[in-house]
Amino acid sequence: MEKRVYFKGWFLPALLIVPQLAITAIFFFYPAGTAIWWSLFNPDPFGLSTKFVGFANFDFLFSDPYYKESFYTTAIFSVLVTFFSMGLALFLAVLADRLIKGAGIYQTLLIWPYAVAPAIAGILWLFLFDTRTGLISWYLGLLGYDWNHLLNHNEAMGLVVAVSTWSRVSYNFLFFLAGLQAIPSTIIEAAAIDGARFWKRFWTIVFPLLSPMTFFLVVMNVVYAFFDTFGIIHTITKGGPGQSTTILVYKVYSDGFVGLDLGSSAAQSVILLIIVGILTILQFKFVEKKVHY
Amino acid sequence: MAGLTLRNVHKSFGKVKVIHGIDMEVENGEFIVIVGPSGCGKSTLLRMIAGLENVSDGDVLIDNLKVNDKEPMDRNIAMVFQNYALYPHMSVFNNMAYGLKIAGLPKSEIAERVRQGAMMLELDGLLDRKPRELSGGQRQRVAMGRAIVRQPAVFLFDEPLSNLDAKLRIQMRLEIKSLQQRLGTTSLFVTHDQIEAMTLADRMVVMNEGVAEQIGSPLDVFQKPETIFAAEFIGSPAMNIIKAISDGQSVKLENGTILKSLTQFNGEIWAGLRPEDLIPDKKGKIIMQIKMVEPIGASTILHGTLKNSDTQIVSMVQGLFNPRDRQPEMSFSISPEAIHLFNRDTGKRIDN
Repeated sequence: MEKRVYFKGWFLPALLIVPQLAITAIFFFYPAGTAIWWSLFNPDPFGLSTKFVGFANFDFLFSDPYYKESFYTTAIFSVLVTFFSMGLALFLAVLADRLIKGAGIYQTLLIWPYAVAPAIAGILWLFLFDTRTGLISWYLGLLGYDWNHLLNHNEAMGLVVAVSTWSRVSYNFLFFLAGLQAIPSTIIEAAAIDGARFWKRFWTIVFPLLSPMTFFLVVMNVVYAFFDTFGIIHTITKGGPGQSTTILVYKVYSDGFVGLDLGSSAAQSVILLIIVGILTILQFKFVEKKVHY
Repeated sequence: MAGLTLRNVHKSFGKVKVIHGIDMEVENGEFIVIVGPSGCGKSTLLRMIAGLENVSDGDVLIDNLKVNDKEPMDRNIAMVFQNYALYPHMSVFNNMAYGLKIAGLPKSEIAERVRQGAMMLELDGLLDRKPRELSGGQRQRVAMGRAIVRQPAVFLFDEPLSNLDAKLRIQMRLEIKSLQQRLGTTSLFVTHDQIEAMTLADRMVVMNEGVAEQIGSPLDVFQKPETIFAAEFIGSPAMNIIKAISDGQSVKLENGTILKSLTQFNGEIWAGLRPEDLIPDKKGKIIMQIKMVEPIGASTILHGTLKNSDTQIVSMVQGLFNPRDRQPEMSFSISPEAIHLFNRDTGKRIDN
């Protein structure tokens, strides 16, 4: 039975949806529209005049080796973050699902990192890995390893991946745990009687049954790695050393607000907008796929 | 040779004791039905035999081998679950073949065994389907097929028919029975439905609050219930239980009615009268004030109270009985052999 309220006039319903429409308009349509508009213009270096350039900003981007490199960086970064945060979360969820005593405590503690804002997470990890004052980098120094993510590309990438993973594991953990708990226990028991031991059961029964959840999380994590990691990268590496941790969204910021090339920055955000659009379509298309149980 | 032996099996969850010591010997090829109301521990008992719950105390032996500490997979059993527990992402074939693949059987033998199992259960045409493309009855068959192909020493059924509609349930009941007779595999079947228990069982276990009230053939349990619980639980409509006093020759019901009996027992008892043993008789001594009439076709069930008391009694009369013809009172007689007597203190049967 569908419960629906019918309004007679148009005034009240209009009034009720205005706040939501206003928020969408101010925080989504207006900036997105402005970005699309600006992507077609080029301001002069002093911001005194702008010139219509058509798709020249896009043309420039597609021939810009730095932009290509940023794509490549983003791909590596998002694959690593997605893989590690999901893998780790799944592992923890499988263990937590088997817990009988203290399950509540473990689950609560595992959810905590999610409450830490990305920029704060970046600062927390800097306390550990700062090249001069970091605790872990000091210990690494004692072991004879000179940790310096300000100079070493791989160390920089490793560090932002680690922080991004750490602050994402909770989210994935929650979803995986819910997914695991939704699998009827009798199916697992039937597999146990059929002779499958724990890991065999996991790979032949549990993991396939989790696949809708896994797919959902892949999309969500790619989106996360693309956009929400800005704060982490900004506090830890600022995109450096060189361009080694400049993912697309960071390049939008650094080209626009540091380099003051607003036209190019706007064009980059339009490209990101299209990428998000594609990911969203994928998500909607496959999330409809029926869950088996 | 015993297919399955339970020796003083106990189960407790923390401090709560759910099964208080059950002893049973199951012969090879026997069909045992464990019947009882929900919460009596019957499913727990089955899960202990399957190895899905550990045994708190006592021993479980399968083929004379103690299996208390063995994993389910090492017990040589197969189980059919109430919700079938089919693997939703696998075809019918793969559902049935899963256990065989893990056992490492050669492909040709797996295919052969699944084919035979599918034939037996008329699943031939469905092997490529996914469980969600099957009806309830077909899923039930696949669940049984999965159990059969493994050729286990013991089949365990955990209320496998309770998710089916009434008609299908009767049909599957017959199929399970004939399949079990054909295969000759020792089987344990848990149900709360006494008709299922009566029709399927070679022997049945009537369970109540973690205790086996009676273990015996369905007719034994019906004709000579050992306890008040077994007497009331088996038989439909349920047996009338009336407070009474026995003086060694006759039984005096609480309303003063005196019935002839064959017992030597002296003292306070419960008298058990099956509704179908109450025979309408103008000279009968049992007088019932009728409140409700339920015609069910071949017979009629009369609900009412024993005259001069508040005790509810039920009688079942053969043949049609027009509700409009009902009288405010009817009298019945009962043959002395049909009166069941139970000790008022212990609830145990008193034999004549």
